[in-house]
Amino acid sequence: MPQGSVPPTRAVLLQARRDLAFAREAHDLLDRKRQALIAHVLSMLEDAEDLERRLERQFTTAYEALGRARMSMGVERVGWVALSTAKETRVNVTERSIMGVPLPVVEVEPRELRLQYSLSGTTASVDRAVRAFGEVLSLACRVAETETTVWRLAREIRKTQRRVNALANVLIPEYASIVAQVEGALEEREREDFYRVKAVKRMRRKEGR
Amino acid sequence: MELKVFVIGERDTVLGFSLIGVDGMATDDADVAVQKLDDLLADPSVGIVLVTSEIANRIMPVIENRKALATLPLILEIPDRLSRPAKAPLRDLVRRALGVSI
Repeated sequence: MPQGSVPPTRAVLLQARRDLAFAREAHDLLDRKRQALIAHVLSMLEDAEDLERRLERQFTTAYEALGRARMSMGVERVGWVALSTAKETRVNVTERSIMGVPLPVVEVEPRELRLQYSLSGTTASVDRAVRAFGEVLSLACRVAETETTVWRLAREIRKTQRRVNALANVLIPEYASIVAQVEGALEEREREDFYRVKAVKRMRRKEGR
Repeated sequence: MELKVFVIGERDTVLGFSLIGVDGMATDDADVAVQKLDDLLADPSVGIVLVTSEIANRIMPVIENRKALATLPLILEIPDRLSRPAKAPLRDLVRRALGVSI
């Protein structure tokens, strides 16, 4: 707000005081939100990183198991098994909210150990590959959940930080300056009135004598 | 909500996931992958999209953009046989958000 652009009236002063109080309150709330988000993201970080590493290792295991299955059974027959598997695996994705940030919760439905392929045409190495990829899937779901959570929290922290900064560096000083400015102008006017009254009294006293 | 998982990318990864009943599409064409990704994002029955690293690294800007726009499905870059996803480590992400070292 440019200096001198507000009329120095009591109404303006009251409004500016209310705005200032509101901006300070908003600042405190947002700052607390920011701190809570930071605490949450920091508490998750180690677990998230650990899960990522586990997923990577499990992928290595699974690719190796798949390679062995293909060696023992032939590329084509593994392909047939894959084709004959019903694509019915489902995961449960819901949402929870922390400080208004929507965060995913992923659960893998426990896979029934129903064999979808005939045992006669396959080898144990296929079973191992299936198990290894099953592990990959459940880990991947947890990583998808934690990674997305960290990602969204980080973004919300940046957003909240910008708002906190805007309040602290722009809005609050602006309202504070209006309050100070109008208070000063009103005081000045009061002093003028006071001296004017005094002057009038003094003149009356002189005339009375 | 019971939702599907879908894999886009390397042939081996798609094969491995199909063994456990997860559908997928093998491609090494970036445009095809982006098209498929957008189809999946518009499909309310899909919960998670896995993209293998070789292709994910080529379309990373698109993936980041889609992650910022959509709440669902979740998108995850996963390692393929030969490479790992070239995404920023989570720690860096958090560090940048906080503006300090942790």
